[in-house]
Amino acid sequence: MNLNRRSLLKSLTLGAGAVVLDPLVRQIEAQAAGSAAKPTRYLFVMLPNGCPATEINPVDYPLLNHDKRQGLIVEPIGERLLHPSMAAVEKYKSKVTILQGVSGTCANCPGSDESAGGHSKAWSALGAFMAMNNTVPAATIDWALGDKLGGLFKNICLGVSKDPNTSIVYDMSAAGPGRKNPTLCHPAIAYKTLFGSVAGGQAAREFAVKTNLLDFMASDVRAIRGAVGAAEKDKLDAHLDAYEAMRGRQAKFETHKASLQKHLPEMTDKFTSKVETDRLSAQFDLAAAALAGGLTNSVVISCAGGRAFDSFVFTGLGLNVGLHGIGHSKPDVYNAAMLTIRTFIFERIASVMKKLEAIPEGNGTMLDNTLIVFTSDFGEAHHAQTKEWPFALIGDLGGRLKAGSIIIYPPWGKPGHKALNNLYTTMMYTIGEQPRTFGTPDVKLKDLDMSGPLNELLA
Amino acid sequence: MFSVRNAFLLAVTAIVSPEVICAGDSTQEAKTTAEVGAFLRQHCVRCHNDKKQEGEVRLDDLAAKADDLKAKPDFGDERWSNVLRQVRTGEMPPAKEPRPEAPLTAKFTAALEAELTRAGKLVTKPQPQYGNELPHEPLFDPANAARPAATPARYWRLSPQIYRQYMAKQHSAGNNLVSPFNPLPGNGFKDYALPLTIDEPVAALLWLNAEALVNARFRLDPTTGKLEKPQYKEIGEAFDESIPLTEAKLTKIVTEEFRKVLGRAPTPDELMQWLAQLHKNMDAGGRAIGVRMTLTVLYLNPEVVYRKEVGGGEPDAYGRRMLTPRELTFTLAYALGDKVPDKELSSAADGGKLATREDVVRQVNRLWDDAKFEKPRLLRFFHEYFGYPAARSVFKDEKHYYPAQAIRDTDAFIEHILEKDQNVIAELLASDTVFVGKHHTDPNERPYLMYGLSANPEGAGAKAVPIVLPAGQRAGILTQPSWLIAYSTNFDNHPIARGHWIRERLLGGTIPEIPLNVDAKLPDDKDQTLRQRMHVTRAEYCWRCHRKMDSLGLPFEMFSHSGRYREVETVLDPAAPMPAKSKQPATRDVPVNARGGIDESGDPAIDGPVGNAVELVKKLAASTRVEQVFIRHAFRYWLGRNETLDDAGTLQAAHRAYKESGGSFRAMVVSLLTSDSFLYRTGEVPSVPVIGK
Repeated sequence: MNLNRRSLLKSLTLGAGAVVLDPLVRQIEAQAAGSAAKPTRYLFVMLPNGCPATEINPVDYPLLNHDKRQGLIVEPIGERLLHPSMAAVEKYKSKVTILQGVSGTCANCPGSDESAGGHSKAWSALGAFMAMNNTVPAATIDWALGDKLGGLFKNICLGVSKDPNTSIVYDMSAAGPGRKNPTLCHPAIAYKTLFGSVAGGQAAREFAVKTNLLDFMASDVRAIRGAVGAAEKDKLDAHLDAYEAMRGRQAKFETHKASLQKHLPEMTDKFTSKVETDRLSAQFDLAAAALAGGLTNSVVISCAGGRAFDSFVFTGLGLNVGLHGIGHSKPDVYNAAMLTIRTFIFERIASVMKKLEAIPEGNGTMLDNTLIVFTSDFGEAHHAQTKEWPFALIGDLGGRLKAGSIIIYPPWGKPGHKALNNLYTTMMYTIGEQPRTFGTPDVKLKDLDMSGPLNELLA
Repeated sequence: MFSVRNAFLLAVTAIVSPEVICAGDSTQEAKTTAEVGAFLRQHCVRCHNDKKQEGEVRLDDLAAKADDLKAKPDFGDERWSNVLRQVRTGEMPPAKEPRPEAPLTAKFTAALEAELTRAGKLVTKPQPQYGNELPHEPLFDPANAARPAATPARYWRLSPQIYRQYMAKQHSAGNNLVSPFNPLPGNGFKDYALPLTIDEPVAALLWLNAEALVNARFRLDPTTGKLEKPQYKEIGEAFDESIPLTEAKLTKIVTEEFRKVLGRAPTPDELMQWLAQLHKNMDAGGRAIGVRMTLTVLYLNPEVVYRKEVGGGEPDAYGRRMLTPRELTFTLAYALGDKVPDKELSSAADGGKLATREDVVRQVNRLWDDAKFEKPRLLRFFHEYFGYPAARSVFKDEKHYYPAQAIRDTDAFIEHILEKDQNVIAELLASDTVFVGKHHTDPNERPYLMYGLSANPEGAGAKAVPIVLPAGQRAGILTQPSWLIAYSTNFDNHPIARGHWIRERLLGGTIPEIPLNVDAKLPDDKDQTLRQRMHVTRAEYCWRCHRKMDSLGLPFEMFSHSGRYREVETVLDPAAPMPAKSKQPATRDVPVNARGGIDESGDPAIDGPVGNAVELVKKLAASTRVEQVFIRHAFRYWLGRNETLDDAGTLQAAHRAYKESGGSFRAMVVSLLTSDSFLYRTGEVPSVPVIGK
């Protein structure tokens, strides 16, 4: 057995646990590099059960079936009404981009538990790569962005599960090869994890004691290392590193205290509610607070995708059939149920936007520097081919992106066709990075050039 | 210019060092060296050299690096470990090339493994699915039975089940806590010692849980501000600022809390450290916060979150130490159940009656016979080994396909076989009886249809009843709906997954992971049978792996993907006109072809074609190798690690116990739980394989 400490650590889930550079240092670095000096935030909202192209398209803009489309189309949204499920963000429609025809066949995760029996692309959805047999090959876009953008946490993944007792899953985000990030599924636990340092009246004293105790706990683990061999030592070192990381973060929390307290979300009953939609709603509150408080610049909210998909029921919306049952219903039943779910989610997105809009930043507000990325974790259908993968983007990142259009790319395999790889490359461009591509393009599209950003989206 | 002859000689020098071979026996050394050299020359370098690089792999340069006899080869080069894995698992040399004799392969791999181990560069994967990379035959070779077996000293992270039970036993508030411990992912054993660790999100959750439990234990009365229910006087006084908190009282608190949380008193050193911590934290946070939060830490103590298995006493001649009596109480309790040791175990340890192998045999048998001692880990072994509970997650609705009912039926089947405890492995694999329960109250739900029955069997209720189905339709678990559904896809059978399972779990074979560049999809031609659609796996590149799976999985085509017996398979009929008043295209029935076979199993007695799944499982059930592979898996489950060659004696003894008891599962497990592998712990370096022994 040769499992050294670092190689073991690399295989661990770092996610919210990774030690990060101080945001100020990052900012200085970014300025020196002439990039990403502007504040930038990303919020990814992942819908389960697929999102048909027509279901986020403005209703009065006719959308041909995928295989019947010709060439590239860029059509201003203008005065068109957004899809009814997006009514809550209608007022922001000048900042909305509906992205159609981008494919996700590059993303797959055969043999993965988190694929929910073939109903989710799990990490591949945000990774644009093949994740075989539960093994992730690279970082997902949320992490790649957060890694460059800095923050107390490089990224934060929030989710929801049918069973409130499921607190953490590892199904949507990754920090690199073999490094799955945790999705915090319980809002009460996420609240304490993210805002525990400033929550409660006794917080300051408890915080000080906890800092002492982390050292003490580490000494307990250190004391037992001598009794075991190298491989076991590596394992215990990972445990020690966990305490070191927690200790490091305690110090960083101190420096962010004022900001965190200012944006501390109210801990309401919905954080511990038995109703799934209440808990999901609480996660949106936490996402808004985490972005506003500077905890992170990259958040993913998985709305019952991945692991949670199994038998999940949106009972709080009056639905009594699970996502899987909905997926196998007749199209009108599926569309009606998913309309209800999407409407709820866009209402939550609007609530986050409203909060960010209320916080001044530079000459505008925090919202101006935030991009909300709404999509499904499984392309265009319950059992998706992923030859198209619809997106709704809200925001223009302070003018770095063009917004206010419907962009429709040529069908899969046709000249000019684009994929998740191109979209995620575009996102990297918005923070001053210029990778050739992101993820791994589909080998079946090898005759096309799938590198580079989406020029129709970049300003 | 590269010389094959030179490379062979140099590689031999590099791979085999005198210490590995029987020390001091120069004749043996020369003989073994020659054999290993011949292996390289004949089977590796010829296709992997500077001019010819099959599979884009070149190995001659590895050997060339050993050109300087004073220099050590770079065993950090991962190709060395790959060579070891490929040769050991039989992937290389390829089937089309002359295959080396098994003893020669064994010597070659043992030598290479020894060198990699010595260099600290041996890369083995600790997860259970890689256990078969160790070849089967040497493990059951009597020549290896006397090797000293032991498990590396370890701290085994608690399973989610044990953690929950522990916290619930500490306080009722523990019932509401979430376990932060995730089991191992994938289809297989979930609770393994080495791969499961505590990372930051887990540590953060452990803290939150500990805090919640301590807050519940030390709840203050909102009006008086005093502890609501002090469990002893001093803890009550600790939260009452009006009462002085003396050193004696703090000592009592630490001692009581150690007893409650860790089940033992603190050592003098620990007591000193804890008193210092209490003072420090009371200074920083005030008395109540200081006491409460300091005591929280006990619930994160390594003795709480890990199973300590280090051993004690003087090491024996092999450097092994037996588990201490206290460690044994936990190890035995957690071998069969999820709860902390019962009073009898603790009393035995305290009374000096848990110190010998005989003591352990007595306690294991007592626990096995004690109906009050819950033993969920027995059935859990079968769940994780066979994987049939995965039927729940294959997305077949309960109202039509009854996966949950099918799982309960298989549970009943296993419990029945364990109750009789005779010829267990053969019964599991080939019994002609199924158990059918009746849990559904909706008259439209008819789970008995899974078995081709026309009504609920008489007497079936919450408890399933045995039914003998028509001969030739079913035999054993692999033909039951639960297993068939678990190894199916949403709409189809999954012969590849079924064959994969049999190859690994029953035949002890290995199958490489799917290469990343493979588009692992079958064509979706609905006018063809699944067997026809699987023709794509016959491509030479695919067949290298699929030859190990497909013929083992295809015999199960006699069942539908929902586990129902069938004689025809329905496919689309594009030549037929669209039926009137129907949106569905025309279909036709094709007689099921359930032929398959067993190849390269390692047991020549069972190799050969089969007509269907029933024939297949009956052959498998009669195989000694299958019994042995089953026992290897039981070893992994109960030891929480993969077997090594040093465990050969343990495995052989378990197999012997099974055979001599007429096929008793209990006898086999008791043998494992009283083996050296189970009872002894050793330092970090596993003993080096010895050639020629």
